[in-house]
Amino acid sequence: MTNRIRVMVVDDHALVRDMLAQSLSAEPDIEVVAVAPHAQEAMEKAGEWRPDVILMDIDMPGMSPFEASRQIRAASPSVRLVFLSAHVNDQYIDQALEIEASGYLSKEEPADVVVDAVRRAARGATRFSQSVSERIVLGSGRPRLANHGESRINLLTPREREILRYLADGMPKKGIANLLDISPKTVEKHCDHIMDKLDIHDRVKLARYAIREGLTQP
Amino acid sequence: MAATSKDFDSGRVARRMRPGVWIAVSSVLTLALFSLLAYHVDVTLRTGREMTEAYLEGEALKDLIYERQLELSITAVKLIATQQQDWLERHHEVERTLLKALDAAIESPSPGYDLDALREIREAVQALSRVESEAFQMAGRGEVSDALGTLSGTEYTLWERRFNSASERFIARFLDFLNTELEGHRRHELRSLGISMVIVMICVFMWLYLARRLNRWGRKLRSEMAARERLEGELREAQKLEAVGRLASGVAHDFGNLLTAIRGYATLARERLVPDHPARASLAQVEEAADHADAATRGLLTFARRGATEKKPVDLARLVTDGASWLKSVLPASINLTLELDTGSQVWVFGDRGQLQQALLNLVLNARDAMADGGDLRISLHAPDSGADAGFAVLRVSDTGVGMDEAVRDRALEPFFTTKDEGFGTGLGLAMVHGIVRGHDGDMRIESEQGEGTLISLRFQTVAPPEDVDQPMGVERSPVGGSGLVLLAEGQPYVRDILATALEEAGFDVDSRASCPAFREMYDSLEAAPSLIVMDNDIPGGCGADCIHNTRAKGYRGPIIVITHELPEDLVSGLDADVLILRKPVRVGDLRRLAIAVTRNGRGGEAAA
Repeated sequence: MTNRIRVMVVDDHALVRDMLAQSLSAEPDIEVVAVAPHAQEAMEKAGEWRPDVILMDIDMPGMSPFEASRQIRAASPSVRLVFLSAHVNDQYIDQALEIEASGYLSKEEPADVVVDAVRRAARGATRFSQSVSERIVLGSGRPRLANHGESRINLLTPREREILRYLADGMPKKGIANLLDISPKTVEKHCDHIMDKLDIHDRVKLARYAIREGLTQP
Repeated sequence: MAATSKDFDSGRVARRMRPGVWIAVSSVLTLALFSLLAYHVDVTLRTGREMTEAYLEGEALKDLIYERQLELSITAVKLIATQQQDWLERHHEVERTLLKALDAAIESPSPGYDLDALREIREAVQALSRVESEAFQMAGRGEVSDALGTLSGTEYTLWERRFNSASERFIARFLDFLNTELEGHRRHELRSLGISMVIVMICVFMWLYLARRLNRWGRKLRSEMAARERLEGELREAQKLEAVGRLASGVAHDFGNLLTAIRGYATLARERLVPDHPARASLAQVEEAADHADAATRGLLTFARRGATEKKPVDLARLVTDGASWLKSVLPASINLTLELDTGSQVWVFGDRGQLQQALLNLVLNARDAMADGGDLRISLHAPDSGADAGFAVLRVSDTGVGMDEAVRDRALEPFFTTKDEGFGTGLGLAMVHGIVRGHDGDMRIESEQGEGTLISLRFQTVAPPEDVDQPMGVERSPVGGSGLVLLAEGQPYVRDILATALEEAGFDVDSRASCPAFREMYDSLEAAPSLIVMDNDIPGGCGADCIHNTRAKGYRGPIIVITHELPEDLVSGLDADVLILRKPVRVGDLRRLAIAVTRNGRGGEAAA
């Protein structure tokens, strides 16, 4: 039993989370060691349970799953990440590629595809929904998205994108500073950079822009 | 919709007006004008008064001179005739009075007095007085007759004439002077009146001009206000749509999650049942129903612009012409479909082909439903080079159907608003088109009248055609169909994983290595030739050219796909037809399709190591 793949399921919808946990637990070679309702808790539990693969929903309120994944990766480089989302969204895919996710699956995929993705991730391979892999472009650097360079949002650093997402979610700057463990002044500086780079100087317009670019959901 | 009104800068307007300054300036100018008028009135009255006084004064002097001179002559004659001393005193008094008046007039003359004439009068008076004195002396000696003869003598008569002539000259010049003065003043006043009239006319014309300008500005302002009101209406509509979009997106998101759970649990339950269990079919139905429901949520997401989109250059002309065949299949025979677009033209926009097709389909279906008794359906596409639509592709769908009244037209883009019978329309058709158009930064216009059909125009920004225009954009071919072994040489582990997975999903078995030596070693260990070799020439240490020559030297004749950033000479020289070089960036989907195509068409490897 020691060779079973240790999986953590992260999804804010209890029904989906439990269903995924049950589906995976039904496989003899997979063991669901933890479940978490949001990215913050996933980060805490990842340190505690040391899963091999984390199956993480993207559309969750609170801390960005990509930010949590970066921090989990920093603490445990061997952990594999498979993202699940109801939306096949360019920004999501790009961020998933940026942190070298082992998979990005649409929630439309049948359960056996999810199971297969977990198995592939565990052995170091990848599994993307076809609608996702069709759009991946291999260039001289890391894999990217087709037409990715055409949005101004690509001028933003990952950290700035992260902060833009929180801003668009209506989080106060102090809250963002607490969440990211940085000073409010640093958040302020990031905000200035974001506004300068995007040439948007109104928070409401910034939120609309973030929604349009798929950084966050309405 | 493009905004047509200019933004008003209230601060700038306030700064421009500054009414206080202008009121002060115009008050000063008005005051100056009235002061000028008052000055002229004053000068005129004063001049008139002075002239009258001068005239009277002159007349008085003239009368005095004539009367006194006459009195002098009479008193002189009476003195000579009567020898009474009273006449002599009287004569001297009159003489003194006259000379005093003349001296006063000469010493301080009024304007217009002719001093020479006055002096001449004085001289004549004195000469006459001298002659009269001689006559008085003669009369005193009793030579009355001689004395009277002296007063009618030549000298006396001569001086009388001079006196009369000088007096007349004095009067004539004085009157001339008065006339000249009055005429000069009259001319001056007429000139002033002329200037004042010009100023008044300028003011009148300025006011008329300002009134016209104000009228024009008023019309413009009213038009701006109407446009602003319309835009505000559109904004409110957009905000309402956005709110509904958010709601729809939220519902679709939650609903999608629920469907994932339903489908997942149904699958779980089905797999736990024995193969011939009667409930398996029911559970399969549940899964299928969940799939259908999923399609509905995708529709909602498209409306809310949250659906998956893949934007790239799309030839709208081709999309319309390609679409015509399948659009006909949804139209009854009673509807005549006409396409109006330039033959062979290409109209490129940056968009999602699927969504644009969806928009066209929705418009066509709406037109069909509006023409229950048949009619004409026209689809036109134009990309004008000039005019208001220059730089845009304008797609128009018009029908000869029932049209819309104002109330329906106002709500046409509202989600879930439909005029169709219950069960025949979701009310999402036009709202979805609007969502798609907004998602493409385009605009949409509805023109319709009750009973006169509907014209819907969609406008998208055009883009330059892509370099590989021969490749039908967005036309996906099935990736299924690969088979056999693919050897993959890729240095980056993550890229290698992605490529390997993509090829495996296409049906290939994949064996991959991260370096050239490892790749050669793998190749050497094979018992049968692979179907395809895929190698990244940018592996550290580079292996493209070496590996190709090496594998060919070992008898491999199958296809080789090399992906590379640069095109080094050693890689491109002496290649055979089965070596395909793909310049980065390379789409994983394209690579997968190419792998399938070359392994299907190619000969495959003929020799192993």
